Amino acid sequence: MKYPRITSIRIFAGTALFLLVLCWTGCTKNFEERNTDPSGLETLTTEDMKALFPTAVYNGWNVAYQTSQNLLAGMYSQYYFCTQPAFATHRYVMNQQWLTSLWTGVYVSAMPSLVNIIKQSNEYPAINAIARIWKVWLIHRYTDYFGPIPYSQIGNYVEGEGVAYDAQKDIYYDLFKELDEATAILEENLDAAVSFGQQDWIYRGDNAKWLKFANTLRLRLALRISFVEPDKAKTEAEAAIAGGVMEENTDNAFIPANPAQYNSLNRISGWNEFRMSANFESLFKGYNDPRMPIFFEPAARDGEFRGGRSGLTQEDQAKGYNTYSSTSNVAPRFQPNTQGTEPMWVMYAAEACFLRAEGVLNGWDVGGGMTAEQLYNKGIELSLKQWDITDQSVIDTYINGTSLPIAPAPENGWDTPPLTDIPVKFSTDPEKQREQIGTQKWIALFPGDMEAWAEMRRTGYPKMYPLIQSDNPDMPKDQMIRRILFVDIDRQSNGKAVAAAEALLGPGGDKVSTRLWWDVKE
Amino acid sequence: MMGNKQINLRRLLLVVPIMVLCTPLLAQKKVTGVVTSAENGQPLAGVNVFVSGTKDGTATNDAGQYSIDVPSSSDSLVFEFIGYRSQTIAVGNQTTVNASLSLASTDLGEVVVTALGIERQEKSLTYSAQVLGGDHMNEAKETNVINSLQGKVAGVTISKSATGPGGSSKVVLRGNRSITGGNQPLYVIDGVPMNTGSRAAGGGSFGGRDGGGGISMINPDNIESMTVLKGASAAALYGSAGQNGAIVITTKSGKSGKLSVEYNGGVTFDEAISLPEYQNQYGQGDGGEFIANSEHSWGPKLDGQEVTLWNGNKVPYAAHVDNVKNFFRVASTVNNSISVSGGNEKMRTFFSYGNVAAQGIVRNNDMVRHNVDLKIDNSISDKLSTTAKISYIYQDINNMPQTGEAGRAVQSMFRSPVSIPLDQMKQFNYYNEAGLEMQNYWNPGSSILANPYWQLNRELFYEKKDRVLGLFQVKYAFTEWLDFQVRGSIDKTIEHTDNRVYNDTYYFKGLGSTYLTGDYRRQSTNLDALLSLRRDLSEKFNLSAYIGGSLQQGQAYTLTVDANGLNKINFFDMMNAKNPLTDDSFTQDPQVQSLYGSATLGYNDYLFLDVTARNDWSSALPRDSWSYFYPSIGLTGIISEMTTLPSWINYGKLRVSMAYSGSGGSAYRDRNYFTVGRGGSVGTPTTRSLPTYKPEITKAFEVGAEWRFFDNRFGFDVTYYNTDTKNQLITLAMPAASLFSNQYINAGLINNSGVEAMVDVTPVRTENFTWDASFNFAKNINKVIRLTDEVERAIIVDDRQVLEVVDVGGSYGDMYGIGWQRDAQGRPLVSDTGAPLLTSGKTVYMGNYNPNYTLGFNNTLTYKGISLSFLLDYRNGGTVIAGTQALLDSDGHSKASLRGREEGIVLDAYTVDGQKNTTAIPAQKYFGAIGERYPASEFYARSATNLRLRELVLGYSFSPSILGENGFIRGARISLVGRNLFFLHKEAPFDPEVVTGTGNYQGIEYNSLPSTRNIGLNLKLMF
Repeated sequence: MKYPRITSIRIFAGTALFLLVLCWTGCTKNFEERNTDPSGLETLTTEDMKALFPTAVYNGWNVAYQTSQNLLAGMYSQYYFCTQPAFATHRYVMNQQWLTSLWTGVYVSAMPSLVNIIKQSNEYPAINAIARIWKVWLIHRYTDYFGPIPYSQIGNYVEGEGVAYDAQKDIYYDLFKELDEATAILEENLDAAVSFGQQDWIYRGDNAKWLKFANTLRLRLALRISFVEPDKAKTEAEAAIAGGVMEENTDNAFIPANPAQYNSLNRISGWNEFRMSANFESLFKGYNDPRMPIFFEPAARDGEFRGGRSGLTQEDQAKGYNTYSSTSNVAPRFQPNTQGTEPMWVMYAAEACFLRAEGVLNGWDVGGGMTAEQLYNKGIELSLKQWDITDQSVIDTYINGTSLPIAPAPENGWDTPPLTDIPVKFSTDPEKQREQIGTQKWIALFPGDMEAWAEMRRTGYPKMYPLIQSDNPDMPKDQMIRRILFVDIDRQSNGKAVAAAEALLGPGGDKVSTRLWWDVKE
Repeated sequence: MMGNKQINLRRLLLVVPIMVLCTPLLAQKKVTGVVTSAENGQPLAGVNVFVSGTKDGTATNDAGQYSIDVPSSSDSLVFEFIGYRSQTIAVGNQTTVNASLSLASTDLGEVVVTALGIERQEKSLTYSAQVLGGDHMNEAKETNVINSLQGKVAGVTISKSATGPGGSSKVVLRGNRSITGGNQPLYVIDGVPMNTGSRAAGGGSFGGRDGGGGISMINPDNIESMTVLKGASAAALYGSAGQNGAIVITTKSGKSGKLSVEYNGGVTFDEAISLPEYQNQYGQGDGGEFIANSEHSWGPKLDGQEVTLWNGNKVPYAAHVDNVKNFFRVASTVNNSISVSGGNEKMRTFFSYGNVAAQGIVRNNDMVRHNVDLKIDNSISDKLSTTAKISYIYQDINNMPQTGEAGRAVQSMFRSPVSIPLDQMKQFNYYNEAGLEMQNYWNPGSSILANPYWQLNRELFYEKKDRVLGLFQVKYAFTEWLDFQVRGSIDKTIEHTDNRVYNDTYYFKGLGSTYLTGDYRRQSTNLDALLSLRRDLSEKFNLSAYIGGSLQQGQAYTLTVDANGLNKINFFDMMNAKNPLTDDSFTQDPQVQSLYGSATLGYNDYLFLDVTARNDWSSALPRDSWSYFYPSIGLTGIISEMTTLPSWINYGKLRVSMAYSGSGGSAYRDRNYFTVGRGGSVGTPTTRSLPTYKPEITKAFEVGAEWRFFDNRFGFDVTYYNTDTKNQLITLAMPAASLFSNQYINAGLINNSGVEAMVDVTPVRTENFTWDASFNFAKNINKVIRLTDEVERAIIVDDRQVLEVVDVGGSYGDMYGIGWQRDAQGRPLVSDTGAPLLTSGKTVYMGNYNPNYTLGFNNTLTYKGISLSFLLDYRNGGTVIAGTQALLDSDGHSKASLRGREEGIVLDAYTVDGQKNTTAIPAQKYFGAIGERYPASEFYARSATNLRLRELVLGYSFSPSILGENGFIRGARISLVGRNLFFLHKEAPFDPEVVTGTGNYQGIEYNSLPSTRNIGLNLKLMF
C-alpha cells in the first residue's frame, strides 16, 4: 500500500491556487459588457427622446384595439354588431383578460414615453407642450371608460400603497389646466427651435395645428361636462374658441399607417367578427347618405347593404341574415389590404362644428358669428368632404334632406323599427336639434367609436336599439351600458388603490351600470 | 425548391460508410456468449468482457453477444458495464458463457457516472441516482429519446408537446421549484452541458410552434447509459443549471478488441387514440335549422334526406362520426442505425450513423433525421490520453402541427359539422373567374376555422436544423492516482424556417399570400479542467478528491423576415415581398465561471463522507455581486458490511445528504433599457429591473435507504427529500400606473418534499425462466411558503381557460377559472332565462395540474431467448382543462352536447332572488354560455388520473447455435414493440399527457394533436 507523498499534494493544491488566481484576476473583466443588452439604450439623447413620441402616439391610439376598443366601444356605440360566437362583451359581459391588455397598454406601452418626454423636455417648450396635449387626449379616453383612474400619481409607485386613482372630476379639472398651460406655451413657441419635427407623426412639426388640436380637445371636454358643471363647461369652451379650434379638414388629426405600425381596424376587419349595425342601416338608408358605401361594403351574400342588431346570441349570429356574409363589412379602405396605408383617425374638424353647435344651443359664445344651424350644416359638409364627397349639389341635397330613417332589414328576423324620426334638415324643435347634432356627430366621428360611445352616454343621442340579449344581470338589454369595470389585474397588484377608487364611484360601485361623474342627463 | 431538396435528402437513407479497424488477437480458446440485463432480459450492448486478471477484453455487440479468446490458463471472465453490477464467471471447459447483469443500484462496488462525468462507486453515493441502460431507449424507441424515461424513473414527470415527430418534452424532476424561471433539468452528454435553447416553446390558447429541444435530436442508439440525478445534491457540482437536477448521458465508445459492426433498425406505426366523442343524431345547422354555411351541428335530426351542401353537392343528411379518425393517418417511422466499433489499447474508435424517417399522424407532417457520430479514444502514452468526439445532426421537419388555436388543421377538423362527409372537405380549393385559387370552405372568411385540407395543403411550414457537437479532452495521469484533465466542447445549431401561406387563407385575408422565413443560430461552449486524486490514505481510509474549474457561455442569434403580403400571389420569394418586416435579435447567455471541488472520504469501504463546494461567478448578476458559493455534504453507510446481518439480507445501505445549489439567473435583468423599434421609434421598459439581483438558492435535504434481501430477489430503494428554493427571481405584476407592468424581485420560498421508492422483485428465477418485476412510486408535495411581505400571489400565466398562479399557502400550478356564480349558501345561480350566471373574472379554483402521485410497474419475463416486458404507468390526480371539449360542446358536435337538445336544460340552480330554477335554457344557448373559446372552465376541469399500458416488448434473441459459430451474422435479436398501447383507466376525454406547450403553463388541453399508439418491429444485428 502506497500513501501520498507531499509532492503530489503540492501539485494538487498548486493547481487549485492557480485556478483561483486565474478567476479572480482576469475572468470577470468582460462581465459588465456581457451583461449589457446590445439592443437596448440606457440613456436617451434629445433625438432619442423625440423618437419616444411615435411610440406614445401609435401605442396610445392602438391600445388593445380589437379587444378593448372594437369589442367594447365599437359595440356599445352601436357602430357595429358582433358576429363572432366566442365573444360576449357585446352582450354587456366584461372580459377581464382583455381589460388587462387595455390597462397595461395605456399605462405601460403608451404613457411611459410621454412621462419620459415631459420629464426631459423642460428646455424644449414646444415638445413639452405637445406631449402634454397628447397625454390629455390619451387620459380622457380612459377616464371616460372607467371613471376614476390613476392620473396624478402616474409613475409614483409607493411600496405597500400602490398607485392611487383620482376622482374623474379631479382628472377633468387637471386636464383643462394642462390644456390651458400647454396652449399658452405653444402659442409662444409656434416656431420653436427644437420641435418634434418628423417624429411628430400627426402634424409633422406643424405646431400651429397642435394648437388647434388642443383647443378642439378642450372644447370636446367642455361639452362633456356641460350637464354636470355647466359654468365650468362654458368657461372652458369659450377659452377654447378664443384660442382657435379646427375649422378645415386640413386641420384634421390622423396618424399615418405603415406596414409595422398598421391601422388595426383594417387588420381586424379581415376576421369577419363584426359588421355594420342596424343603426347605421336605418340612418344611412333613410337619409340616402353618400357615406354609406364609403364606410361599408355590400354583404357578400346578396350585394345588399345590411346591418345587424346588437347583443345577438350565438344561435342568432348563425341564422338567417344575421351572419357576417349577409351583412356589411367595413368598406375596402378599412380592410387588410390597406392596413399599412389607411391613416388612423384622431380628431376631425367636423366634430368641432358639432360641438360648437351644441354650445350655441347652450347659450355659449362659441359660434364665432355662426348660428347652431350653420355650424351643424358646416359640420355635415366638412364630414362629407372629408370622405371625398365634394359635389356641392350632393352636399346641399343631403343637408336639406327631409327623408326619415328606415326600418332596417326585416329579413334578419327582428321587428326593428326606424331608429328615430328626425331628418337631416335642421329642426326647429330645440331637443330635436340636439338629437340631430348628436346623430350627425355620431356619423361624422366614425370610426372613432370611443368618443361616439362617450357622447351617447352623455347626451342619449343618437338613440340606441335595445340589445337582443344582455348576459349581464346588472344591465338590462334596453339600456345603454355606462362604464367599463375596474381591471382585475390592478385589483391584484394595486388592491388598496382600487378599493379607494370604488368609493369614488359612489353608491353604484364598480358595476357597468354606474354612471360616471359627467353622465347625469336622464 | 424546398420539396426537391427534401426528396434528395430522403434518398440518402442507409448510406453506410465502411470502416475497417482490425486488431489481431492471440487465441488459445474461443469463448462466446450473450450478456443480458437481469432486469428485462434484453441484451446489453457495450459490456466490457475481460479475461480475469488481464487487460485483454472485448465488448458485447448490440445483440449482447461477444466472442473472446481466452488463454487456457485463465479460469474466469469478468463482465463490466456502467450502471450494472459486475460479474465474474468461471469458464472451465465451456465455450459458451452467458451472463445476466443486474442494475448497479442494487449492489455494491458498481460504477455510475455522476456530475462532471466523474465515475463513482455506486455504494459511495450519498444521494439517489437512477441509471438506465441504453437498452431502455433503443428497442421501443421514441424519436425524442427522453420520452422513453416515462414510467421508468421514479420522480420524473414528462409532458410531451402535442406536435408530432421532432417535438420537445417538458421534464420535471421532483416537482417545480422556480416560479417564473425554467423548471427543466440540465442535460449533460459525456460530461458536457448541452444547449437546450429552442426557437419557441408553443403554449397558450392561441398556441404556437414548438421549436424542438436539444435532447430531442439525439440518436437513442448511441446512448450507453443515462443517469438521472434528481436532487440538488446530485447536481450540486453543476451549479446554476443543475438546480432542477440533471440527466447525465454517456455515449458509447469504441472498445478494444475485434471489429464489431452492429445494426439496429425498426419500423413502427402510430395511430391516433383518445379522440373526442362525437354525436351522431343532429347535423350541420343552428337552432334546429339546417344551414349549409354553419360551423355547428345544432341542425335538425339527421334523417338521411338529401341536403345541398355549401358547394352545391347533394349528400344524404347523415352522421360521419369517423371523420376525425379518418382525417389522421397511420403514420410510419423507419429508423436505422449502424455502428462500427473497434481498436486496440492505443486507439479505439466508435463510429455510428443513424437515420429516422418519421411520419406524423397529420398527413403533411414528416421528419427526417440523420445522426453521425465519431468518437476516438487515444492512449498516446501510459500517461497521456485524449478523447475526441464529433456529432453531426441533420433534421428537417415538414409542417410540425402547432399547438392551441394555431394548430389550425387539427382544430378545424375537430370542429367540423358531423354531417359533412370527409370527401367533400377534401375538395379544398376551386378557381375563381380570375383563375385564382380559392379556398373551398362552408363558411368562407371564418375568423377561426377553415377547410382542414386547405390548412394541410396551403399553409406550409418547413424547418431544418444542422447541429454539431464537438468535444475534445486531454487527460494526463501524473501517477496512477492523480490525473489532470482539460476538456472543451461546443454545441452549435443552425436552423432555418420557411413558412408559406397561400392566398385566401383567412387569417391573412386581404394581404393575400404571405411568406415568412427565419434563421437562427445558437451555440454554447464549455471549457473545463479537472484534477482528480484517488488514494488510499491508510489501511482504512480512502480518499477521492476533485478540484476543477469551468467556463460556460452561450449565445443566440435570430433573423426573421415577414414578407407581409406578396406582390405576385403565391410566389414565395422574399424579392416578391409586399411590405417586408425584418426582426433580428442577439442574446448572450450569462457567462458562468466556476471553481469547484469535491472529496469523498471512505472508511473501511463501508462508510463514506462526501463533501462538495462550488463557487460561481455569473455575469448576469450586478457588478461586484457576481460571486456566489454553495456547498453540499453527505454521508452514506453500508450497514450490511458494518455489522453482521442475517444471511437473508444481502445488502443494506443508508444515506443522507444536504446540499445547496444556486442559479445565477438570466442576463440583462439588473438595469432598465429603452428599446429601439421599427422605424427608429424608441420604446420604454415594461418590466422594472432589479439592481440588487441575487442568485436563486435551493437547499435540499435527502435521506434514503437501499436494501436487498433473499439472494437479491427482493429489494427496495426509498428516498425522502425536502427542498427549499428561495431568493427566486420572480416576475411580479406591478400596478400598471407605476409605468411598469411587472417587476423583477428576489423573493419567495417554495418547498418541495416527497418520497420516491423503487421496489424490485424476482418472483421466479429458474435456469430457463425468470420473472423480474419492479415498481416505482413518486409523490411530491409542493408548498408556497412565502412571496414577499406584501404580495401573496404571483401569476404564472393568465390565459383564456385559466389563471395559473403561485399563491402563498397554495401550491405551484394552482389554477383558477371562470365558474358559476353562487349565492351565500353556495348554490349556483341562473338568470331569469335559465342561463348560468358566470363569474366575470377567473376566481373559481379549478385544481392543480401536478399529479398527486405516480406509479410505474415494470415486468420482464424471460424464457431462454424469448423475453416479454411490459410497463404499466399510473398517474393519480392533477387537473386538466378540457378545452377542446368546451369547443365541441358549444359547436354541438360532441356527444355531451346531446343533453337537452329537444327539451332544453333546466339547470339545478337558483335564481338571484332565491327561487329554485324552473326555466329551461335551450341546449345551444347553455353550451354556448359555458363553452367556446373563452369557456367557464369550472365545467371543463377534469381529473388527469389514468392508468395505461405504456410499453410492451416481446423479443427473441437468436442463440449462437442457430446463427452458427463463425457465421457472417454473429448475433441477432428481433422484437415486437409497442408504446402507449391503451388505457386501462382514464377520466379525461383525452390523453391528459398531451399539453399545449412545454413552458411553465401546463394543465390545458386545447386543440391538441391526439396522442398516439405506437406498434412496431425492431431488429438488432451484429456482424
